[in-house]
This record gives sequence, C-alpha cells and structure tokens, in this order.
Amino acid sequence: MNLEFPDDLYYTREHEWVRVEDGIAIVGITEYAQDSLGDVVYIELPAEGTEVQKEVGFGVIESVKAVSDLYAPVSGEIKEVNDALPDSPEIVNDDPYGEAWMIKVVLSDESELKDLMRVDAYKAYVSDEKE
Amino acid sequence: MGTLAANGLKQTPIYQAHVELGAKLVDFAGYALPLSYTKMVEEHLQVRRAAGLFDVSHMGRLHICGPGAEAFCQAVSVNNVRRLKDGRVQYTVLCLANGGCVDDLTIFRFGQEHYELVVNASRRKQVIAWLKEQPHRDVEIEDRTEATALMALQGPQAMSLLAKKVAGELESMRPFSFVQRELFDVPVVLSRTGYTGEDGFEIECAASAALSLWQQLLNLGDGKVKPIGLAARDTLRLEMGYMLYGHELDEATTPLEAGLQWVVKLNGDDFIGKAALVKQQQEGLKRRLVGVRGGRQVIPRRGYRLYAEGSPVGEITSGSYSPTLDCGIGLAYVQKPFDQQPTLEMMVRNKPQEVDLVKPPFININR
Repeated sequence: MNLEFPDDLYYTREHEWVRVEDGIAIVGITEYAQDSLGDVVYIELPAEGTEVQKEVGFGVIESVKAVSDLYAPVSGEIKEVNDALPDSPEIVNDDPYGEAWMIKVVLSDESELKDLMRVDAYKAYVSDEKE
Repeated sequence: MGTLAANGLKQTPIYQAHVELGAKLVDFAGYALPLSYTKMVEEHLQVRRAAGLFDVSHMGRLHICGPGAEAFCQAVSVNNVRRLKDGRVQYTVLCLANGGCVDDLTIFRFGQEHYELVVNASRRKQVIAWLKEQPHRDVEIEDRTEATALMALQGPQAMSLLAKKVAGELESMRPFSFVQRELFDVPVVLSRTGYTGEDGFEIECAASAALSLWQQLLNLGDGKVKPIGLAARDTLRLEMGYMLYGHELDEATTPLEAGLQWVVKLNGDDFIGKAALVKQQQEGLKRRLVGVRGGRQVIPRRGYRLYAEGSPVGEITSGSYSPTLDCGIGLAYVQKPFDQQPTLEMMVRNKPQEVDLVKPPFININR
C-alpha cells in the first residue's frame, strides 16, 4: 500500500500532522498512523479552550487492537474540536488529512514549527521506522 | 516486507502469497505472518457472514508414534485420550506437576500408535522439550511442523464451498472429527475444527503443495472466500471466549482456574498434574476466568485492573473491540467471590468505568 503524505504539512515523530492557516495549527494523525492502528473505534478529545503543550498528550485514540495517546505538535489554546470524530471515529481511517482533523490550536509560539519535520524528512523517518 | 525476512523471521510455505496480497506482516512467535490484508473489522465480519481463509502454518505439529503412543499421550494430557476414537480430535491441556499449563492444544488420533498434537507456535520448543523430559517408552516424538502447512477455512459457507471439491461426502462429518482425503489432487488431513466459533475446517498438507492449495481455496466460489489475518483471528476467538496461551493460560495458571473443568478429567486415568488439580478442586479456587463486557467506548485491554468498591480484585488478560457486538469485550481473572458480581469497575486511563461480568461466549452462533 502506498501511503500518502501531503507536502504542505508539518509532521511529528509521533505521527501527527499540522497544517498552518493564519496562525492556527490544524492537527490530525498521518496516514501512516491510521494504517498502523487499523480500524479506529474510539477517540477522546479535550474541550475547546483547553491549553495544550507541545509534546504533551491531548487525547486518546483507540483501534480494534491498541490504544495510543495523541500528542500536541505545538503549544496553544484549542480554538475548535472536531465534534464529529467521537461518534464516527472511522473517518480517521478514511480521510486522515481532511475530514478527520482533530483540533485547531491558536499557535502561542510559531517558532515551535521549526522543530517539526517537513514531508521529505518525515518520509525518511517513516521508512526507518518500518525497519 | 523484505525487512521482516532480513530480521531472521521464519516464513510459512504460504508467505509469498501474503506478500503478493499486500498483507501487513508482523512477527508472531518468530514467524512473519499477516496481521491483516485489508481492514480487521471487515475481515472479522467476512468470517462471521461468509468464509475466510487463514494461514496457521506457524502452529506446531508434533507426531507421537509407536506402541507406547496411547499411554504416553494419556499420561501427559488432562483430557481422556483413551476415550478418543480413530479419526477424532480432542481439545486438551498439558500440565506441569503443580497443575500449571505447559500448553493447550488439539490432539488427533490416527490410530492407537499414532497421534498428532497441534500446539501453539509460541510454545512449540517448550512442549517438545517438556514431552522429552517425561518417561516415553516405545514412543517417537517427531516435529513435522516445517514439512507441512496448515490452513483454516472458516465461516457459515465453508462447508458448502468445500463439499463440492472433496471426493466423498463431507456433510456428515462431525465437529472434532477428521478425514484424510484429496483436495484439488493434494492429499490433506481435513478436520472439522477451528478457532473462530464458526463451522469450518482446518486443512493440513505437505509444505510443497501449500501455496497452490491456498490459491485454489481462495478461488472457491468466485471471490466468496477472503484471506484473513491474525488480528481478526484474535477478535474472532475472543468473541467465543476461547483461550490464548500467554494470555489466559500460562505455567502459573491451572486449567481449572481458566474454567476448563470440562476438559480436565479428574475421575479418569492418571496424568501429570492430576494430584495438584485434585487438591485445588478440593480446596476451592481462589480466582476464576470471567467474561467482561463494556460499552461501545469502554474497551478492555490486557493489564487493565478490575475493582470492587475501590479494591483491586482482578485483571484483564485479553481485551478488544468486538466487531459483531460493537462494544468492548474481554477476559479477566477475578478473585472469588467477586467473580459472582454482576458488574465491576475497570480502570481505563485512571477513570473507573463500569463493566458487566458475563459468561462467554459473548455471541451465539446458529449452525
């Protein structure tokens, strides 16, 4: 299976992605993450207004076979949460970069983005992880 | 894919087919095996609704041959091997002298001087070593795992799909019986057994014939049969409450604690571990395996603790989301008398969640 990694995103070592639009970081998990997890059956997300910290867990994702934490790629206040996910967690498998965005964070420090991977680095990271 | 092989993992005779089908491969007991081919839930429901094909060649196949075979198998097995007739299969457990489980397995009787033990891949080495430590007069213990392959065709359509392809009649085969026939011109041992709860067969053949037999079985009924990976195999067995060695069973657990009283024949012939099990039976069990059912978003996982009024009373041994029931299910050891409570609290990420205690199987299958 060929996994898709859009080249306009930032990526983390924990397999989250970030899309930046007007100072807002939109966060989800990558196709590699959803493919490794398998069928997603449960998602727990924080409430709007919660402050998230870079590299600290902000939620939980559970598939048929395993439970994983979701880590914030950047710090800031959550402006919006994708309310559709808890009821339809399978969207994460179907459309990880689109409909299955998880939270929108008001970036408190844009320089944190420099610590994240761009697409080529992430692709290399994923192919290393497979081995 | 090449990486797993490079890591020194063993391959089954059907490995190439898994690669060509694009399976996600994992290390299972030292073998590179398919975790899934498509989606786990889809594969699970495929077996419940139609038919699925599994490569289970990693399971150990040990043959016990010689004039002492029957006496030897009886001496190491908690079930009554002497009651087993030719062409029949029995589920049983091998126990240590202290009653702990060496392995759980099926035993096939080809004749009084020939039995086959189908053991867990993860336990094959230990089982062979343990068997050889026991007195074995007039008995040869032969490991034929690598020379053969084992597949399972499981699901409500398994019988109708296979019956047309096998010489002779199949419908009258009883559950837990086996025949030696030809299937697509390949000599096979065909047993009406499985690990899914569905009707179906396990099919053993020579390693050299396995790949072609796998392809022909997959082509049965023009696409009605789908290949199924280990992830679905695990959720299918869990819905039935079947044991998995290393989870519900181990050397520190007796088959009585696991609820296998129906397998352990304390009134039958002597076997290793019997005295310890009789003693445990008389003294009463301290803990017992139970089924646990959570809500749609309360999914038991191995290691989760169970509490009664704030005190820890048990632990989950296997847990998953159930595709059939659309809720969390699991198995757990619970201290007596808390195993009799209708509900317990399960700690999920530091939050207590109520779960129901139920008697497995979690689902009913109409055959």
